[in-house]
Amino acid sequence: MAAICVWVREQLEPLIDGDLAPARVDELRGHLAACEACREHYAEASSLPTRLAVVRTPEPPLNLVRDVLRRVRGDRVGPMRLWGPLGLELVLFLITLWYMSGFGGLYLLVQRTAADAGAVLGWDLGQANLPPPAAGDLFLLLLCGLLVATTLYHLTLLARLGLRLS
Amino acid sequence: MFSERALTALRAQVTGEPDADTLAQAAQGGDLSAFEGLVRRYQRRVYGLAYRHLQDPDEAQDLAQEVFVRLYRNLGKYDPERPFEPWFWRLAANVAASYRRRRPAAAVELPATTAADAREDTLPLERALADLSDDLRLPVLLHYYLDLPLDGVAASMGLSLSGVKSRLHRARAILRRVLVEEDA
Repeated sequence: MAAICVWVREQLEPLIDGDLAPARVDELRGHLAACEACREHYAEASSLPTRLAVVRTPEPPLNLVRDVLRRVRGDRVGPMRLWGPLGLELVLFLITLWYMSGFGGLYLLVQRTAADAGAVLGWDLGQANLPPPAAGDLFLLLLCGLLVATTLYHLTLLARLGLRLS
Repeated sequence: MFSERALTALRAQVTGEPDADTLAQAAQGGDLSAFEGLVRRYQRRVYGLAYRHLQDPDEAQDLAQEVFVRLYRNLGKYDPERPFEPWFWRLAANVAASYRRRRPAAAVELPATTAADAREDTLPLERALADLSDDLRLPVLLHYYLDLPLDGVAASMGLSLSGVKSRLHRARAILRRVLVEEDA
């Protein structure tokens, strides 16, 4: 390839963009009129901007909109709404603990439940009598119900923001 | 003489679809369905930019998500007196330009046959574009694919106007040489 062709081809893009001085433009156009190989480069260079504007791209994934909205909804949930239930859960747990006379009471409850379960199992195998029914405690039932409801709501909220938290 | 913005509004009236500016203003006011409308409207081009920039579908999806999440978080900064699109593409360009800096590309090992098949399926221009270095490919995509003005590309990439022009010239020269060789 002639040195003049190298020189001309280095300036094809500025020529197409109109970035060259008129004298230089005339010089380049003179060479292009006479050189078929450089004209081929010029033709390719001229069509490139248009071809780049319509370059093929794959379809976006179907879940793109859904995933964006999930993340955005995560943004909409403020920290108070997200972690507020944790405070309520803690309060309910502490009241339960106080009502059960601390960890000792809670341990006693677990122990009794385990003993009752064992007795039911033994009764089923014909080795023991059925345990007497436990005394009802409406306040404790209410506390446990509230604790379960709050925890379920909180878990739903966290699950909805699953990806955001991972 | 109608402005581009007035024409867009007129087109929206004829087709019955809200234009991007209207959707952006509604989204700014907290309307999530308007925001969803914006995502649906621009998802193809945003994903297209991300895919051509990163050459990896998973990373492209991540970047496209990031662009829209950043849009949502920055809606408060959008001036409703100005057209939405240039502002949005500028934001998308910023996110795309900073994405690689924040998160270096994962070394994805594609099975040899898959990579070869994918290459067979692409046009010469797409292959040549993929082979460009990041610093040359991104300005090409921002200016020609997204139609971002040169000063917008310069601001997004932290370059001078002449720096952007120089990169565009270099990138196009490389593409042109590859395409001429392919034709020969």
